[in-house]
Amino acid sequence: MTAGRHHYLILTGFAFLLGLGAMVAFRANVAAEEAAGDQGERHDQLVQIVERLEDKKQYLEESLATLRSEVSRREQQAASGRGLSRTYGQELEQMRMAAGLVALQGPGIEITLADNPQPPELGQDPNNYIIHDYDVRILVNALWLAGAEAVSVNGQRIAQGTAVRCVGTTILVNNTRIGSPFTILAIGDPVRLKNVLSLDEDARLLLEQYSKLFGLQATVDVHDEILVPAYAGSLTPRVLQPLTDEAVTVTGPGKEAP
Amino acid sequence: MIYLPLLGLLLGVAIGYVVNYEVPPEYARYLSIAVLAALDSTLGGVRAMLERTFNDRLFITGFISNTILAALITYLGDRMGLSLYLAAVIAFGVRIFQNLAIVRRLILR
Repeated sequence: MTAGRHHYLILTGFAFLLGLGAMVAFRANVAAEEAAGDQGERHDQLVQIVERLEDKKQYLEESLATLRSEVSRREQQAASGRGLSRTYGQELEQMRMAAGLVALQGPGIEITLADNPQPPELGQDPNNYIIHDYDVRILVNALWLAGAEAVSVNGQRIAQGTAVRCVGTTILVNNTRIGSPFTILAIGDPVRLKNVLSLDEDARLLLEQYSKLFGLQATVDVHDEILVPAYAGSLTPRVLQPLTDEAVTVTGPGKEAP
Repeated sequence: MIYLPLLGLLLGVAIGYVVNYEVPPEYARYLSIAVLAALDSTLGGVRAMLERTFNDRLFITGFISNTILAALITYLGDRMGLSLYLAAVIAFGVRIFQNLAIVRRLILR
């Protein structure tokens, strides 16, 4: 028997290390799994909160629309009367149209954009195969440039304060999530609206080059009758106040004296 | 005397349970590889004991060099985006089973 006492001790030492390491590794793994579970739960909770808030928002928007039409009806009643209130009534209606608070109709164009239905080929950047918030912004801005009088994206009226931005895999317009396919409606001179899409460099690249290159679906149709919905959100100012002092002159970049 | 290593193993598990030390997640895999290397070395040591060829220098250097190489391979694999640590897992795993089979034969013989 050549196995001396210290051999057993060495082996014991290693067995000790083995047990210690295995236990610590086991615990680390359990902790990691628990953390992942917690995160999943938190994610589910957040999704539920978002869904609840979206339901609530929809309900509020619907009641807001009802109230606005009620106000509008009362105002028309009042305006149907004598001269001055009639003038004010018409002016109010004009302002409301400009603010995006009423659904409008008129000639215009309809642009439809959609992601490439095929999954991107291996090694290709999948970002090239989907419509982004900036694509929508490019078109909306081009349409304003061409004198569009009302624009909507997937039923969301572009009004004062509307932002088109990217959130995760969807686009937010008026704080409402929208996704592909996108329908952009614009009321205005159809010829000018259609022409700007080939005159504006970014719009032309998107509709004529990238769409072909990456299989994005883009169609432009001219219609005699386009229906743009009303802005459903709130326009109530919180801090705004009209400028009353007429002596105040507006100065700013480009307006200052040379 | 023969049960001393087993006692050491149990003591290690007990201390690991009581101390409750948390490894940073990025090193968790290295620890697992080290555990595998230790299991391989310990079984190899048991086998060598039974074959009466146990050499403490070979045993300790074997464990250290195996662990270092396994850690290096894991690190390299992480850097290259390749699951290279599997090489260590398979090498240790195969040898653990081989050694276990030999230990079994030596004991039952």
